[in-house]
Amino acid sequence: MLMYIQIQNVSKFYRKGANRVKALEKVNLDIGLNEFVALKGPSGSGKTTLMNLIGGLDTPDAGRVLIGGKEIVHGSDRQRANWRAENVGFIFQFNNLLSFLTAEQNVEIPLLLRRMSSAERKNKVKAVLKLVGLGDRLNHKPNELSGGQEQRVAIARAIVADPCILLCDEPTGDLDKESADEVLALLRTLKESFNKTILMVTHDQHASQVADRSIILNKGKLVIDQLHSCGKLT
Amino acid sequence: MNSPQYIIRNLTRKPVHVTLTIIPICVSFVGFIVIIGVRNAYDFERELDSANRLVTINRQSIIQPLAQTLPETVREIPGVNQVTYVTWFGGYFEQPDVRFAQYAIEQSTYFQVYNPVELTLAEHEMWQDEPRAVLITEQLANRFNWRVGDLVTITSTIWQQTNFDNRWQFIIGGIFSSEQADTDPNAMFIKHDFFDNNRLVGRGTLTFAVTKVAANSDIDTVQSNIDNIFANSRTPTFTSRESAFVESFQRQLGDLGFLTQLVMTIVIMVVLLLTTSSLVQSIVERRRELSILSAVGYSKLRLGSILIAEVLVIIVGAVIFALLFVQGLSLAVDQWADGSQLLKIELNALDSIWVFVVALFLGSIGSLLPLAQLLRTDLASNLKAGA
Ligand SMILES: Nc1ncnc2c1ncn2[C@@H]1O[C@H](COP(=O)(O)OP(=O)(O)OP(=O)(O)O)[C@@H](O)[C@H]1O
Ligand SMILES: [Mg+2]
Repeated sequence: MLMYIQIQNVSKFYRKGANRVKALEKVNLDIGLNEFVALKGPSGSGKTTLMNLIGGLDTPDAGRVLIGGKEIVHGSDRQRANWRAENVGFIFQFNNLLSFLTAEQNVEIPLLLRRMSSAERKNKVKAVLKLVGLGDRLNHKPNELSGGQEQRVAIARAIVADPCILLCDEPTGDLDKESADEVLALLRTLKESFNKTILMVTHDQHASQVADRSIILNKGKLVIDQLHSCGKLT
Repeated sequence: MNSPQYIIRNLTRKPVHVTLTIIPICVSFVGFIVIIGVRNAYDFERELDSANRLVTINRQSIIQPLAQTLPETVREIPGVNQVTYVTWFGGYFEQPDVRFAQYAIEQSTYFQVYNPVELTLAEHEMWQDEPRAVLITEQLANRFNWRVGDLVTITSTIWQQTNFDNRWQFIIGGIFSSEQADTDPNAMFIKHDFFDNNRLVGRGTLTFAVTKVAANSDIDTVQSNIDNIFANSRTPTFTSRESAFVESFQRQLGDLGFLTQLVMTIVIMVVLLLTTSSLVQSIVERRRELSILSAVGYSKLRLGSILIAEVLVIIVGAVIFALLFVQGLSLAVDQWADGSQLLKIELNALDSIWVFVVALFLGSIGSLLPLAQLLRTDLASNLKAGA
């Protein structure tokens, strides 16, 4: 398999007052193109930190992060921002959306960074919202949407600019089982039909079953890496 | 939606915050713009200064007349080029509240003391030959839609004619530019000899005399010489520079230099403080939003620009309100002061642009500190659990 995301000896420390907190320690991990990986581990084990490093939101203190064989730029904030806009889509546990904008406007945000006509943008946004099953909710504000619908709008925003990688930090953490299943099915579709490479942080055993592979972190170290026999909704 | 729309949407969701920011900025800029406007009118006075003219009135008060023989005496004083005199007509057109300045001017000398006005040949002949002819400013002509040759009746609140009628009939003899003549924008010049011949009382008197001092003579010496000559006469005089005459009205507005500094300081403080605090508040309150946008691919510099643009929109809005308000105020003052040059707020397009430049400059300076703070913020940490 083509190794798309390569984490090589990555460490990350944070300063908390006088203490040095070890968030990640010498992590090595390869994720293939079009792989769907579940990232698990107790709270504080470094899951979000790892995700932010892959997404170029943060830079490692040691080691290298390579995407598609190229080390991601540790350059300026602007360079990293441009890289994110091109290559990754983020989905968080909650409050993904800007409350004063409609679903359509929220999804449009990444496209405002592109040279596109307003009509092009609108068409693209509509198509993507339709894809996530919300073609009829264009003008709804976040407070007029259910939790599951909000997460699907967030997914639409994450994929609207066609990135290869989706980084999801507990995307179903706040959802009831039914909504969670819808979101997981949608992510699975994005892998199967749209060739996305997905890294999903989750605490939920059930959710991780949808992935092809599970990785478990503990105290900043990678402890278990297992392939699932079959990644399907049970 | 595009980026400007995003900015506007952001502003409209917090109307109270926006209003509370706009009001103080607006109020301080009203002060700033008024000062600029009054200073402009002041410049008029400085122009008057360079004209080397002295105004002489009755020492008791301007309502007490002086004799028409006074100019002859003053002409004898060394350094005096020419002397003319004026009587205040004090009239209105049709309604008592439709007022403007009417001066009976001594025809043969007035335009030697003041710059001659440009008249057409026909206007010039009418002004020479027709006793009832009057000259009016362009503004006045526009205000009442008067043309050369029109008969107009002006009612004087001071002067009756020999037939006891205080309604005087004149013929518009010419229209001139008020700036040329250094006079009120709404002024009417009446021929003094016609006026004198037809008034019931007060013949042979004048309200004030204006002396033109030779450029190479000392104006202060001439000024004291005039008053010295009449010091022991029946009608002692009071002579001042024409600019001082104008200034005495504006003095009431306070010491302009000090006021300017005070208002400038207030404007600077208010704009700097409000931009800084408003931005810092935005960065703190909207951490989550900024972090999400950062994850989506917005650089910190771009986020900072969006926040600063929001503040600048508020400032520009406040300045627009302030300019409109002062424009209204200026019209009201004009109305109240009969369009007199003495009390006036004068604003031109260049001043307005200058005000915008100052506002945007201050806004940008006030944005620097919060921007530096934003650039240092670790937005990614806000996306972690518990943040
Ligand atoms: N900005 C920061 N400053 C200081 N310490 C931090 C910072 N970010 C993370 N840490 C520490 O690094 C460790 C890993 O944090 P991280 O957020 O990656 O954990 P996590 O696995 O995502 O936890 P959770 O499941 O609760 O989201 C924790 O001990 C945390 O306290
Ligand atoms: Mg986390």
